[in-house]
Amino acid sequence: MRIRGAPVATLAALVMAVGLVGLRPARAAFQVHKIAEARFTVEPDKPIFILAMGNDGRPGDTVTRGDALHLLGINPGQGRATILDIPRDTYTAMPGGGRDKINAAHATGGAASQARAVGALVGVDVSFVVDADFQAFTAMVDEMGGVDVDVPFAMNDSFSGAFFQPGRVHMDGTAALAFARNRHIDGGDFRRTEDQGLLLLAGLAKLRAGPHGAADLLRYVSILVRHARLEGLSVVDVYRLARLAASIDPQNVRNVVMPGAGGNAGGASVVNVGPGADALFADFRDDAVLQSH
Amino acid sequence: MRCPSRLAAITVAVAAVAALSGCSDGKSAVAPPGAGPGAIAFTVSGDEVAAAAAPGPRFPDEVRAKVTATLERYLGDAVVGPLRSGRPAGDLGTVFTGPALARINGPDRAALVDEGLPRADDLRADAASARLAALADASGAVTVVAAGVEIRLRTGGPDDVTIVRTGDLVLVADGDGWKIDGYEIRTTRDSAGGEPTTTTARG
Repeated sequence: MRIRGAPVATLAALVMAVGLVGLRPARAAFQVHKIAEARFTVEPDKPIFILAMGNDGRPGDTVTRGDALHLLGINPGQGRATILDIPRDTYTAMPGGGRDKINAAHATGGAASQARAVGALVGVDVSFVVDADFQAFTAMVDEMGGVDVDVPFAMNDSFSGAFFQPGRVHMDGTAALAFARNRHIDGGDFRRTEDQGLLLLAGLAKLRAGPHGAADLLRYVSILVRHARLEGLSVVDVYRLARLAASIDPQNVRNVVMPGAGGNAGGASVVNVGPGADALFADFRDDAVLQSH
Repeated sequence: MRCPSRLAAITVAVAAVAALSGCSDGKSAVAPPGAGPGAIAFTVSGDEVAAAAAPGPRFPDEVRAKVTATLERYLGDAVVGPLRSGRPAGDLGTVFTGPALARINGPDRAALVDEGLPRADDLRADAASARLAALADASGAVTVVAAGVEIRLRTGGPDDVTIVRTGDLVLVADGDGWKIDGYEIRTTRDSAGGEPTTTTARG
């Protein structure tokens, strides 16, 4: 059975991908894209925005959708960051015109199109996209030795396979995927996307605990690059991104979900952007740090 | 393996760096730019290359030479020069990349540049070493070099400040040379009559 909406690669953000020490298969596990019209600077108080995306691709798929959408805003100068979780069904403008669910942008134009849709919604230039599918997500978590996730409440969901007690839980790739997919919980899709943000934080914590020193980080990056397909960026870019990610203490990262409400468009169930979203986006986009939320 | 030219290199100017580059898996020590008698030598070692595609290349001699030259410029322009003159450092644009320089000219300066101390007429080094490791891209070209550094200096004189700087400097190719693009540095300054101060910078 094909499972739609699985937020597979929430963990596919670079912060997590860099932890891929020991990845065995010599194949491109995920992709990192540099978006042409965006700038990459790591300067004090100049935020950088990265879209961490999981697509719903299975082996053989040629058209996939961006079903886990997390916009990472990082403020290098302050050493702080925000994960803005975007529900996949958010009804918004498409890069090519018209309106649709935001995850449809991936199907029509790939990662770059998805980045433009998310960037336009929030009002920022997305510099990079990290894109992974089901297989890549599971492999990444396994290869980094699993992640420790702070499960906020008990989960007992046979659809996703999420069976967890609240508290810190060590998850392998399969368990992390189940945790990320579970939407049979209070809050449904909104809570699920927030849980995906928790996985990102767990990945960042893993990265922080991993490399010790610049030489170690070079080794991590070399392994990462062996298993990534780089689109428009260099190994130096990847190293800079990894260094940036490693500099952020998870304690200084906020994880927030875009406000929204269920609605209907053309007979399809969608998420309409909520009344508080504009203020949240404005707070986020100036320096990637939330002051009033 | 030790480089046979190590001792000789201590007394030569930075132009000798290129000649030392053959010591790919050994150590080399060279004098900083403009150094005269009593010059502080930087000992460089390490040859690990982490590669994006196997088999990885050897640490290229040319890269080692250029990186060493930049490290020497850093030591001379940001550390030894200001200490010996008692004056602020000059333009560090030949040492740091643009983004790094922006941080050096801001909050990270104290950790990487030795300014604001009395002129040191009897500056001595207990240690000045750098251990290199490199990252190569899929074509085998080395694109990033990390230098684990340890610099221990004593200014001498009545104040006799001991300066200990440890951590990593990360260099990338910039034009025809290499510049420092990132760092994680901890610097402690301890004077005879005062409390030690420690500054850190990561960028």
